[in-house]
Amino acid sequence: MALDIDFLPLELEELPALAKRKKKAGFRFVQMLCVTTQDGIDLQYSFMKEASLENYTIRGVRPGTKVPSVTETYISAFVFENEAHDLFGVEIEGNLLDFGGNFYKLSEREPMTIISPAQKAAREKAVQEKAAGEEAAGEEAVGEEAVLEKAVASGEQQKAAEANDAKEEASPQEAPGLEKADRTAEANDAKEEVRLQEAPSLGLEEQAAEANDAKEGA
Amino acid sequence: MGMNIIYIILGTLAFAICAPVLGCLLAGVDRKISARMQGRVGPVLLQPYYDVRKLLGKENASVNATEGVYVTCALVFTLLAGGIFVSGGNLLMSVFVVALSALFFIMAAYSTRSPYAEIGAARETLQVMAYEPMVLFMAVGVYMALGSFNVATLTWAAAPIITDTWAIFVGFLFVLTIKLRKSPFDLSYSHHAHQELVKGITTEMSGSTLAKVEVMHWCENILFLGWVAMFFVWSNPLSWVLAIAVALAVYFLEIWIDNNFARVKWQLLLKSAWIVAIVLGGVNIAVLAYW
Amino acid sequence: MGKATVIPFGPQHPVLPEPLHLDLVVEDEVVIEAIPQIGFVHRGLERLVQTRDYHQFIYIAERICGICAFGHSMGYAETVEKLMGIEIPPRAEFLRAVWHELSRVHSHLLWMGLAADAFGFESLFMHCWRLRERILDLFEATTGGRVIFSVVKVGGVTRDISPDMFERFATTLSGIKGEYNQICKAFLTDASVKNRTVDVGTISQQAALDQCMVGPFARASNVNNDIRALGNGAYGALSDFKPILDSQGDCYARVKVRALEVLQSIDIINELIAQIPAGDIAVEVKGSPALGAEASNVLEQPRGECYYYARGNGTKNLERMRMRTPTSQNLAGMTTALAGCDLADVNMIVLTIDPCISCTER
Repeated sequence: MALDIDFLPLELEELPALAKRKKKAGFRFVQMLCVTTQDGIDLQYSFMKEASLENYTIRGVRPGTKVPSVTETYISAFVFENEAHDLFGVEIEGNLLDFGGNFYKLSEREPMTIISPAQKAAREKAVQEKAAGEEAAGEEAVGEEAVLEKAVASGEQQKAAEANDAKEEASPQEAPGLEKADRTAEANDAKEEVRLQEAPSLGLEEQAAEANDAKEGA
Repeated sequence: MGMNIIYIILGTLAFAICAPVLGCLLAGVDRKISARMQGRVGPVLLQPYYDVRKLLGKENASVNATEGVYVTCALVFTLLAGGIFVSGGNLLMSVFVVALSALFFIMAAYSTRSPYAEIGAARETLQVMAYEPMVLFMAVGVYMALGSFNVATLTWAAAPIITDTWAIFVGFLFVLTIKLRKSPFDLSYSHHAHQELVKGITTEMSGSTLAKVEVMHWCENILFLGWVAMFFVWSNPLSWVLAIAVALAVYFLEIWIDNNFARVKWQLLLKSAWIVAIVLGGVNIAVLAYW
Repeated sequence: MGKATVIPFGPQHPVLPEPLHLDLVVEDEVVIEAIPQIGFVHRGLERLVQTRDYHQFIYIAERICGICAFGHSMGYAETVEKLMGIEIPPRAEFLRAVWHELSRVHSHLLWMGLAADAFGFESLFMHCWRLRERILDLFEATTGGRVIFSVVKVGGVTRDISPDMFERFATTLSGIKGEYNQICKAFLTDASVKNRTVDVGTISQQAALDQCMVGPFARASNVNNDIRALGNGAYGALSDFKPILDSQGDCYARVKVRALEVLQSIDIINELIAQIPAGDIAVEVKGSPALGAEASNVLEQPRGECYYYARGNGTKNLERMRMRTPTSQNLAGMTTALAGCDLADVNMIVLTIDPCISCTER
């Protein structure tokens, strides 16, 4: 019997009932993981019974949403729920063995939610390429609407990106642990990001630079 | 009376000079043989000496000042007990002074108030409670076979006391494993740090204090092997050779036992030691009393 | 005696194999409660997917742990191959399985040595590790490394094993078997060892199921969750694979399960070597995982079942790589087993879950 893997969607409210159902059906709890996405955090719960592995994903949990705990049904989940709280900032209610944020000794909060600017840019590029690819495969008649939608979407994405960049610059950068080369690369990218945002005011700087050159020339 | 004290002082000095040297060599041989039994090469023969020398050169980092004082007392009393024994003095006195030395050692561990040292000291107390009955029976058995507590009377005895006290001898060998701190009875302090109490009773001891503990163990080992040899000495001068050979054979047996048994828990230790003491010691003494 | 002492156990402790902290509340040498605390080796390795692309990340994956190194590299590679829909050549699957089973042998021998040390039987510890050295020599001869091999890549393996080397495998393994049987006898029949392991830390089958325990820890309580029985990859070529189970649920049972698994692994290796197909050892992998693609994978490592999850986002870096290791699942089981045990049994119980805290925390 080969391994049978399923990915299924799940709503946040259904989580406790799902856990109880699975326990009754003889499934065991495998793990719970979190993924940081632009729309919030995805939570994935996995259950397994013999050759069948089922993964249930709750998409887009926003900060501040309270997630019910499954430790009443599956006590071994306490490890993952503490980890989700410490590394991702997910608030879980009702964890029977709650370490209150002290499970991992971290020097910064929620480190797994930080994405470097280079990564962000690469991801957005990939999203846009995929959207472009899908759009090209679409029909001509729908083409113009799609173009408009894409422009709106990319505009929103850029706004969201800028908002996120501002948030990242406020939150501490993840310098320790990265290689020097990467740090300088990211620093360059960061500088580029910053520069792009300040593009409209570049004119003033250029005038000041010209004034300085004129002074030195004279 | 005055001569006795002079003999005791001379004996203590002789013991204080010879026992650490012999004990160090014995410990080196112990480690080498253990290593070979485990398929390793093992350290050089003088390794225990190098270890003690290194410990003596370390900075004093003890928790409090009383710990060092207690350990020094323990060492001094061990040397005194050895001195009483080798000068032919009172065996019972020697046993009591060794017990006093063990008590000082336990007090040293308790004085540090560290959780590991406290549990180690508690276990050491249990160990003393476990072996002391058998040791006392041994002293009584020697008295009954020899007619006197004085060890010097052995040198003109007609026959080795082993002939009358072989059951006590076997019982004594059993508790010797506890006294020599060998598996399966190395609960409170094992030379290998891989036990749940870190280093047990000596957890908080370091530097010159630990060096004194090491030297104390060497002297104790020599003293206990002396008690073993005592069973095989009589008026024949060649009996000394036999006695030393038996003592070394017993030590080799202890090394073999150490390498072939896992450590036991304190309940089993106490029970087994007392059963051995009551059965072997009690029966032998009863036989000696009524025959 | 009589009042409760709190003993701080770990993270630095000579008998603990991994940095785990337990505050043991002890009364008269009986542990009343023990709550584990981890977090001393968290290195944030899952975050590094953002700086290393999916080809390079395999070097990070195998450095999560020194003992399960090969298992993690194999699990990671399999997951990414599933993510991108890559089929690797059958010879590569067999080679990976052979190395993985050798990893299991060396991991269990290491563990048995530590268990012997924990109950004070040092010479047995030395003998187990002496045998383990021969396995490490095999690793060095075939991969160049004793602990971390770097021999798996996404798409296959990087080195082949020649038939001469397989001969050497066969002779070394049969040579080990003879001495290993003697060691097994010491573990399973010696009275002083049994005194320390029988009826210590018993976990019933129902408790094991409730706490979702995995690996030999659970198999000793008669819970059958061996992933190898599903026959993925090269394991499907095995003629007869029965997971080793024991129903006692105490430390003795866990020692027995692991001891017998070593013999079973040696048999598996011999069988795989006999059946290994000829061919390529790797396929070339180009491109990146698609946006929104996700894949998950399970692998039976020496410590239990390990779960991997990967999600792509269209770039060369994965969006998320998750490795859930068996010890994270077994922590709940360990906590219940510790309540009410003797102080002398604490390290035995902690050791029998075969903790790998560096894997748990990544």
